[in-house]
Amino acid sequence: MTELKSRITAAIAAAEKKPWNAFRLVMGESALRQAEELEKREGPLPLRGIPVAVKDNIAVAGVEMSCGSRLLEGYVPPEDAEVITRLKQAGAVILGKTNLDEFAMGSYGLRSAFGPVRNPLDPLRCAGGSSSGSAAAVAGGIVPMALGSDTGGSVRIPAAWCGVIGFKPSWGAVSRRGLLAHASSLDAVGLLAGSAADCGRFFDAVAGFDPGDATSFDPEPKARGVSGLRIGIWREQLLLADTPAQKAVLEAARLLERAGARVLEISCPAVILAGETYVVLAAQEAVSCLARFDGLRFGRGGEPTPALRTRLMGAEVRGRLCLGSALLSMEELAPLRRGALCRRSEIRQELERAFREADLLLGPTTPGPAPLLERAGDAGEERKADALTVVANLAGLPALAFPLGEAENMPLSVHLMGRRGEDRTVLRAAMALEEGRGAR
Amino acid sequence: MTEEIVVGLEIHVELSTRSKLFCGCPARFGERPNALCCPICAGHPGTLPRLNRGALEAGLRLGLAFGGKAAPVLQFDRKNYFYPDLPKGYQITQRRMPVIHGGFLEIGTGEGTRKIHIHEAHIEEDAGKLSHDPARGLSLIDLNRAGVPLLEVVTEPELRSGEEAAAFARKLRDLAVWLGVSRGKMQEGNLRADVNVSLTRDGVPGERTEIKNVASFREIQRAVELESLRQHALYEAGEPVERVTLRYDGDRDRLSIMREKEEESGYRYSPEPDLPPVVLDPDWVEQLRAGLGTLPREREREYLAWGLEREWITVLLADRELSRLLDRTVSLGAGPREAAAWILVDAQAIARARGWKGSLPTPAETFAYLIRRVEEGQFTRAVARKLLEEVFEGEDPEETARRLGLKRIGREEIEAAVETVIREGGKALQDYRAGKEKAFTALMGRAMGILRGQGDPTAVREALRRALEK
Ligand SMILES: [Zn+2]
Repeated sequence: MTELKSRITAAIAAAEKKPWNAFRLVMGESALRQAEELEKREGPLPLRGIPVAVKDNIAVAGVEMSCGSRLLEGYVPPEDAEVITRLKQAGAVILGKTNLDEFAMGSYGLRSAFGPVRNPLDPLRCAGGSSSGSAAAVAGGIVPMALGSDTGGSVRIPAAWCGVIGFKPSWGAVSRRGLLAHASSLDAVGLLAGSAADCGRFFDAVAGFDPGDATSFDPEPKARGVSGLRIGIWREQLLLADTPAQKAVLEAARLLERAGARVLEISCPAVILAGETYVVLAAQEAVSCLARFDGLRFGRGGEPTPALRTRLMGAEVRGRLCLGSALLSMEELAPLRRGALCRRSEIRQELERAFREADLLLGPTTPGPAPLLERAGDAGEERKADALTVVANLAGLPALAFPLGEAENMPLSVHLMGRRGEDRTVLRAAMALEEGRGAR
Repeated sequence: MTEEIVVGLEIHVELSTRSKLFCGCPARFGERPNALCCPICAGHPGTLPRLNRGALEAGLRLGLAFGGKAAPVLQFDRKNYFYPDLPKGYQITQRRMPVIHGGFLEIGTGEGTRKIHIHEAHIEEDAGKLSHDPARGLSLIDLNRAGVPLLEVVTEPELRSGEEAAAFARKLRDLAVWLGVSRGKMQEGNLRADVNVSLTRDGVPGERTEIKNVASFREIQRAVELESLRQHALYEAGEPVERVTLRYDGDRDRLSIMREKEEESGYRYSPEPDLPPVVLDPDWVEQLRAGLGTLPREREREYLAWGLEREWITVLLADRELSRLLDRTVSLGAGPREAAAWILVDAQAIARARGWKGSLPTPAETFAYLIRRVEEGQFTRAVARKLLEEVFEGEDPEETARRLGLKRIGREEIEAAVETVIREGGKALQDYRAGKEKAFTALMGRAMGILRGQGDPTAVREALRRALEK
């Protein structure tokens, strides 16, 4: 057996044991076939033979996509998502579909209809969500790269808690075609990888304008060098974190400074309202994005819509849809609706000002490490988990979670955010952190 | 008590583009159910809309043609509602900024023409079609129409009767067909109207009701008439008019209430994030405006000046091909009234008799030739008409005339024929000489017979008179 085939065979075997409930479905046969075809393809391919796991809300033609929901169980998409097409072109092998919080709604990784995902570093802790299976598959060493999606932090939170890199590109830098929409104006296809260098290669393979996605564009091809880069430590975000997470941020600042960057302090107070703003906007958008799942067309269906939805949707999804519907239709809630839109533009403006002083904003990804499962019952706490990450979605900016520091024997993570389109500058800074951390 | 009917229309004009509004599926009518759909128009998860520029252009041209202003920015919204024929659970439309603002169309009324103002027009996608099969207990969905582009034209409430409402709809249809942006076929549902009716009594405006999805001019007229009567009866009985949605049943000529008390928030709108706002290039819009060519209202003025009959003008303005044919025939030197008569009466009669479908196959040159020959006195009109039947499908008239022996009848031939009539003599000649003027007709008939009916009657008459006076 060739090296490539044996590598894929090993990955299939590891995934098929369904460790941590990370995989929903392993595409063993098709992965082997892809490996065989790859051996016939000549020339250098950027991701030749790399097995990639795919969050089960991204379409792979002919492979069931249930999005963590009983409502969509049995739905088979007819076309590959644009990112899947690009990954295959780059020589990657699609290994399987990973588990996620139902309809990508959740921060702990516990809300899949097909069972919770466990943290590979400590099975008594949450993996984080909603790209929980993808993060676990990378953290557990089954794949070096995995696709996720990020509407409010769904790639960066599980990356932070599983100790891997999670990258949410600029809104539009990676085509959303084939990603099941949760809230289109906030959604991004996200990347999870074991190293910053891998994450960079991964991004190069999937990024760029897609004529089938009117919101897509080509991000800046060149990264700014770290030397002379202005890193703004984000004061309000730092204050929202626990002491160990604050320390990790200061450590990251030191590493970047050593690489030639200039560190300064930045204040953006409007972001304190980002969490609430996100809840209002995301719930409304989810109502229309999920409206097509009425039980008539996709999944097994077969009974009148309200009954079917009540029976087959989890409480979190139903709760958000109820909130969103009320927001959309009740005149009494119009101020809330308008307020959220105003705050979104305020946040954008404030960030624009911040990016005149700094090239990157640095803060913690989450206030602390992965919570213990026994303490994960509180939905209110869960919703606060994305307090630090949603701002990147509201403003459409590239943001990356980088594992740095420790607390309670679990990894912590720092958060780098750049200007829209400067995705590669964010990735370059992550590589500098990686080099600095290794040299330490 | 004065009472006035107040009508506003929302007319959905189906734009005849090659493909649907947001995907590459062909936009055609009459195919097998669900033969024309793809993951995008079937609303599969993960699919994204991609705007068809042709549809945007068609919508803009219609809007500019009725004098509307193009919006500076093109943006779309979602109209969220559940219905089985709506694949995504929302319809992509334009709520915040319709692509066209303002404009008007003129309609003919009892008291002359009146301007009916247009509030706005917006581009949106059509839904699929739902049909019910009670025998099998099934409801069936056909998505062939889902995603077909529409321009919804919203008038100000300035129409005052069913007749006026129908006249406006017809005017809009004719304009769309004239521009080639819609097929305008009512029986295929290319034009559907929501009709808003209220009564203003002694200057006090009353509650408004809506009749949904009315699909023909006659039905628009009847819906207004029936609804204004219904409201009138309610007021007279002292009962309130409620804000309801009605349906008009054409077969039974009856209105029925579909939904009680409609509230605006029944439809929940939200911005469409998958289609980012696009600045409409003003130069491009200007180019579209310049490219509209002569519009029906300008054409109408000219046709009136030409002295064409009213009915002819109505036909011409509803059919740009015919109008172009007439203009071309006139530009080749034919008199407008003669040309119109040949095209609209003679050629149409032949087309009807032959069951000809589609536009006339006869070129303008043929009509110009026939008219010239008749004017020159070389053919009688009857002969020219006979020739038209032979060359209807575009054959060369000159050559056909020669082949059929419909040659030029010259002065010598006419004089020879007249000479023969006089030489042969007979009772008619004697009667004429005896002063019986009536006998002239018989002599004339004989001469025409010798000429096989092809001589110019005026020329023959003159030649005969001259010969008899000798
Ligand atoms: Zn289609």
